[in-house]
Amino acid sequence: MSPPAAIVSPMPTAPVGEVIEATTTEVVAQACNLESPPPLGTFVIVADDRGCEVMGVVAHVETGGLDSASRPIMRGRDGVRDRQIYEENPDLLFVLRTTFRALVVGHNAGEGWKQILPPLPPRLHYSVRIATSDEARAFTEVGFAYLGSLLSATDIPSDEVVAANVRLAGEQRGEPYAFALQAGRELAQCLRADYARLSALLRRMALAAPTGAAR
Amino acid sequence: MLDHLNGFSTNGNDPPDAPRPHPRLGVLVSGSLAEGLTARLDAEASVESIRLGKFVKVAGEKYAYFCLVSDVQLDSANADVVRDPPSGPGAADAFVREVLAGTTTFGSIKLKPELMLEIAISGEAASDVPQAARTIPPHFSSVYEATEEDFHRVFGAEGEEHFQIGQPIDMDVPVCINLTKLVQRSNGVFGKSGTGKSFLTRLLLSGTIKTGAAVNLIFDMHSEYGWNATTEGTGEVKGLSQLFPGKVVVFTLDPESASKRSVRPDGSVTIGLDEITVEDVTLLQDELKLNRTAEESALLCEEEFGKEWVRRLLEMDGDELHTFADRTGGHIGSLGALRNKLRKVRVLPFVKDTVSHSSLDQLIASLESGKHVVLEFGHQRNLLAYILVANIITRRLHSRWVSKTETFLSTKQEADKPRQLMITIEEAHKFLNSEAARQTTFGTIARELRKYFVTLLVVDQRPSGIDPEVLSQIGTRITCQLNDERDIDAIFTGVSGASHLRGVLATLDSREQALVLGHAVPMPIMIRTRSYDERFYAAMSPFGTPAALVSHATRYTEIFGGEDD
Ligand SMILES: Nc1ncnc2c1ncn2[C@@H]1O[C@H](COP(=O)(O)OP(=O)(O)OP(=O)(O)O)[C@@H](O)[C@H]1O
Ligand SMILES: [Mg+2]
Repeated sequence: MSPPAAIVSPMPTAPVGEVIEATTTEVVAQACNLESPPPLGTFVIVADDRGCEVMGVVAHVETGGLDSASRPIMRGRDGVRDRQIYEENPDLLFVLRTTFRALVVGHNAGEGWKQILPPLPPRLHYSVRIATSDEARAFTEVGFAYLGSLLSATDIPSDEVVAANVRLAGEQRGEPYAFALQAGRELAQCLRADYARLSALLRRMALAAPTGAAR
Repeated sequence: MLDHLNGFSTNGNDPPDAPRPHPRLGVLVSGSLAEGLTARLDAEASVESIRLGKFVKVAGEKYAYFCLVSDVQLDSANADVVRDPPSGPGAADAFVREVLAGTTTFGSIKLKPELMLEIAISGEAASDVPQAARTIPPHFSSVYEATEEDFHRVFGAEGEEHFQIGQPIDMDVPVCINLTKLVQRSNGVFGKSGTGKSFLTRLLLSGTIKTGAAVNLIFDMHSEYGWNATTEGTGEVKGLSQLFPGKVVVFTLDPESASKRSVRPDGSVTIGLDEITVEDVTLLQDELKLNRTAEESALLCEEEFGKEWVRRLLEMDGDELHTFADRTGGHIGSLGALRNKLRKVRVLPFVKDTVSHSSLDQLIASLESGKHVVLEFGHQRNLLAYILVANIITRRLHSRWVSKTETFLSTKQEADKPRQLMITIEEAHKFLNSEAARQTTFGTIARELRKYFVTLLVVDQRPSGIDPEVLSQIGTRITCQLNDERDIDAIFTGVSGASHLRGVLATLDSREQALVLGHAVPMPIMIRTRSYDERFYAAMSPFGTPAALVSHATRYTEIFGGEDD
């Protein structure tokens, strides 16, 4: 699977979402486009007016009704299925929405990336964009401490998120195998007390990442 | 971390941009002075590239420590890994293994600190001479591959005193021994047959001849030191008299064989019957198959006839023997047996009834004048001839050197100081086994050390056959591969804390590798023996090495211009 074009773009990209809930640890955003939210594991950035940027990793993506009162119902009938449903019900695009959650893993207040939480949450209704490859590189260059905070997140499939993030970041850096190896070593330190989880996670990363041949 | 490294590796005159490859191997995690140190290998350092006996450096805070690797092992930080090893053939397991290597699973090396060297703290001149390790480096000190500079610092650079005897197993830098220290004690070259003892001995001799550290007498049983010696590979190698023309003279016991090999010896040696003493005969116990009573009978004869005893005994017929036995109370059977056995000595071609002492005197005079002497045995390569001749000559030499030393001690004139003399003997256990060592001059020399300026270079394949007391006096031991446990024990006689070296010795290749330990090296080291080849010949030549010739040539072109300008 080749990465979406936006992921390897060096220029700041167009917004992919808008912040609709924000805490210092987590951002929930509504995707600009119902059908193309940022994929699981992607680095996303929310900037404020003072030049402070908050880095997050997409940990959960969800599509549903606009609010709890308008729950989607089944629309397919008489052999109309899948894509045809959307074609016959153009209003769907306005009653459904896609939201995604990004775990906050660091911030940059003008002095470079730090893998610690920002002092304040991002502002509501500000845009969320996918980090450029330069930004992803700069952020991962700082270290792997952020993987530790991803691992300890509870209500998400954190190992899946880690594996996806390592794969995407490795691709953005142009060295998927070497990056996976380095990240793996960091994870081995974090999970030294839980070998079962570590080996499952590493095997998952090996499945997601290109093999040694890409070295 | 790298900062304090630079603290001692910069000695002020290094160009600042000199590349200094300094691969880190790992980090110290535990240790004790008694048991040695344990370091954890970095993920990048391959456990397979670390051999037992490898020379490494640990950068402490005040000192750099030079250590030998005494063990390599696989460790894991987590017992679960070992219970469920990622050992599958697939890419996923391969990835897991690669991730775990260096973190969860890692190599450990055990290190034996041998020397320590103070690190210069800016401004203070740190000592340049490493001392025996008496402390250990702190936790998490980095362990490095030793550099060429480290080898220089520890083993010295080739020059007046230092002579390159080989290279480390895994690097191409010289390892030198201190020849001045070497010749002050008796030394040994040990190893199984065919491991390169004679080649090593030739190297050591070349070193002492080149630098003049000692004058050498070589009992050359197999005629391989003076002129061409054969090698198993390429045919022939040069002998010492070819490498050092004018400095080495060759004497022979067998002029006929010498002329067949078109070797023109500088003299031939003959032995008079009157030069043979009871000591010489007892030493031949095995070779002549003498029984226990032979010594007594010989002593009887000597008492009666003095120096003439062998000849007189040989001349007696049955009746005379009876009369003699009756008169002296000797045992007729034993006397008769001794006489028959001594006939074997009499028929040796270089043994004469009487000789003018000229040939032996000439040999001794050569040594006194600073010429090195190779005594070839030619076809007389049986042990009987070898032991007899070596013992007689060495006894004469020793008494000569003892009286020289006594003169020197009374006059205290530098001119009276005897030359340092080194005597090389192969099959040394024949002279130095527990029984012989007590009686022979060789035993005396080995025990009395450098007092009289005479030392031995013993070459032997069965060190366990040598008297332990003699072994413990051996200053420098150069040991090639040995398999027999008793021989290995013998090598380490009188060496304290050598248990880690046994393992190192066991990893030597069957040829051209050796473990050097003792007086002439600051710490034990495993080497690949220096090649005895054209390059070595050139290095030994008085005109210097080819490199020196080249640099002369460049100087010439610098001054006078080259052809193309
Ligand atoms: N330093 C060296 N340079 C070149 N060749 C060597 C060297 N050391 C050993 N060899 C090779 O190994 C062979 C055996 O070496 P050498 O004759 O010294 O063994 P040795 O231990 O003296 O054997 P023995 O006990 O039978 O006398 C030589 O013939 C030579 O080919
Ligand atoms: Mg030999």
